[in-house]
Amino acid sequence: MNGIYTIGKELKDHFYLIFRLSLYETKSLYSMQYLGWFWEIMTPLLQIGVYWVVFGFGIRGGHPVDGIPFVFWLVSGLIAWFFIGSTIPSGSRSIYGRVALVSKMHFPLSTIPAYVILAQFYRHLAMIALTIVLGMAFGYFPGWHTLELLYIVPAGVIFLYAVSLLLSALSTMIRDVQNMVTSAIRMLMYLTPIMWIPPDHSLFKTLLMINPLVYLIEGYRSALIGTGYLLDHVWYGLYFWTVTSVLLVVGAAVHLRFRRYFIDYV
Amino acid sequence: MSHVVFENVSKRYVLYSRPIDKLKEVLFGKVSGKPFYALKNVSFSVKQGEIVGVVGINGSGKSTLSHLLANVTPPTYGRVTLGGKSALIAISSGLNNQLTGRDNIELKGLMMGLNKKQIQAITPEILEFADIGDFIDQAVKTYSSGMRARLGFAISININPDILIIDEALSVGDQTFTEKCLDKMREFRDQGKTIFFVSHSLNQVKSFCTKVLWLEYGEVRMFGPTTETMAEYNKYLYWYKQLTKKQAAHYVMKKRTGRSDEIERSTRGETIELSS
Repeated sequence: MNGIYTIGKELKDHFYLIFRLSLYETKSLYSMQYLGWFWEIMTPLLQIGVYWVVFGFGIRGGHPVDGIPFVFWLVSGLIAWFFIGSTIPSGSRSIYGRVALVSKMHFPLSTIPAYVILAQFYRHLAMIALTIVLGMAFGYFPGWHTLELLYIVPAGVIFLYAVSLLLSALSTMIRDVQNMVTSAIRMLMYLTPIMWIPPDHSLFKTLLMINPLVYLIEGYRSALIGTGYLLDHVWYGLYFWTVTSVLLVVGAAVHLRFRRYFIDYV
Repeated sequence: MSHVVFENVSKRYVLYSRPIDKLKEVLFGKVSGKPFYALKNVSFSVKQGEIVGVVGINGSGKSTLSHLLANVTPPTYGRVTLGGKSALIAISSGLNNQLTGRDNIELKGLMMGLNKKQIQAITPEILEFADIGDFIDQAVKTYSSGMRARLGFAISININPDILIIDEALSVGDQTFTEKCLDKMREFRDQGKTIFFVSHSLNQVKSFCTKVLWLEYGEVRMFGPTTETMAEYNKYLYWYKQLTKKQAAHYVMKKRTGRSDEIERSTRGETIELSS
């Protein structure tokens, strides 16, 4: 618990640092390309297009999901996935890629995963806004349920920080972790019901819900479409926060225990 | 007043024959690779306002020493006490190639723990000192190696460290820039700051340093006034050069492996940075 307090204080004290570094992170990411931000939007759009065709028309024959147009249903879950799927690998590689640059022992290394996540977060916010616009085109206007975003977005960020804190420490010491993360993410993309609807089989559904990402994805849908999932699944929410807390405690402990030596492992 | 104190400092690196050994060490804390001591029982203390030249042939532990001084890495055993903030200037000065020079000034400043105001205050001085003109708004990857070194040097020197470590960084600049740096360092010395000057240029060390620390395979061979130490070091270099290959290899072997078991293992290594 002390570990979480230490990390929390570091993040709070270095808020300006995290903010500025996240801007430089995005800047150096796109300085090589002529079209920069264009790709930020274009790549996900192309992906959405492909999944729409394959899963929406190919597999589902263009049927809506519980009355919700497939493309809107797909996009509201998929944008959460885009954020998760790009943040976990880059969060996990965040420390060993930068520790040599930082090269100061009293630099608060716990801010590195934080600013790497924040750098991805700007694009995510833009995508949420675009999804709301898309929803309006289908006649789904923002309402009370939209306020759920104020809960599910921070929940996602905290979960991702916890995962990144742990994975970044592990992958600095054991580089194989990075490969594991990459393939795990690739599998999770299909193991999480983002593009397909889980069949009505209670055991299967329960097994699926072991994966806390399901809560996030369905939570986004609840906030963007108004499916009411979050209010119907309070116990599942409790499970999600338990998993997140355990990850945070373990991540903070591992990070604080080993960070003195990170530079020697690079 | 002693500004920098090393007490029985040793730095161990572990050479692993298989990657799995490294994993074992992470998980169980058991050293299963071959230990290699880059520094062995190094003790010395330096007063404020001193310029210490660090000399030694390749592999003597000069870079490890400068990393310990810069508080980049912790010692394995012993204690390092630093009397203030330290900054390391090396050839690869940790600039981000994708960003412009101006961005790098802010980035580096942030990483060194400065706030927004402090960074804005030192930016004009950095620009003046680095003297790279319009290139400051270009990406660092377009810079020549001299420009890069100048910018790195200008940033590190202007964040106003109490202890400055210069690791071979002057070897890339031209004569004018080197002069400018040496001037700046004299100014630093007069302000009561401590400078460590790691160099292979014996002339620069002779003309500039007040003391010389001579390292040989991780141990302090001599630490004293410049003239005497450099005279001894010169003799040593001459002697070392006339060794045959076989003799040299034998000598290195003996020095490397010898006395590793005499390492003072009493305390876990720590670095203490006193706020000035």
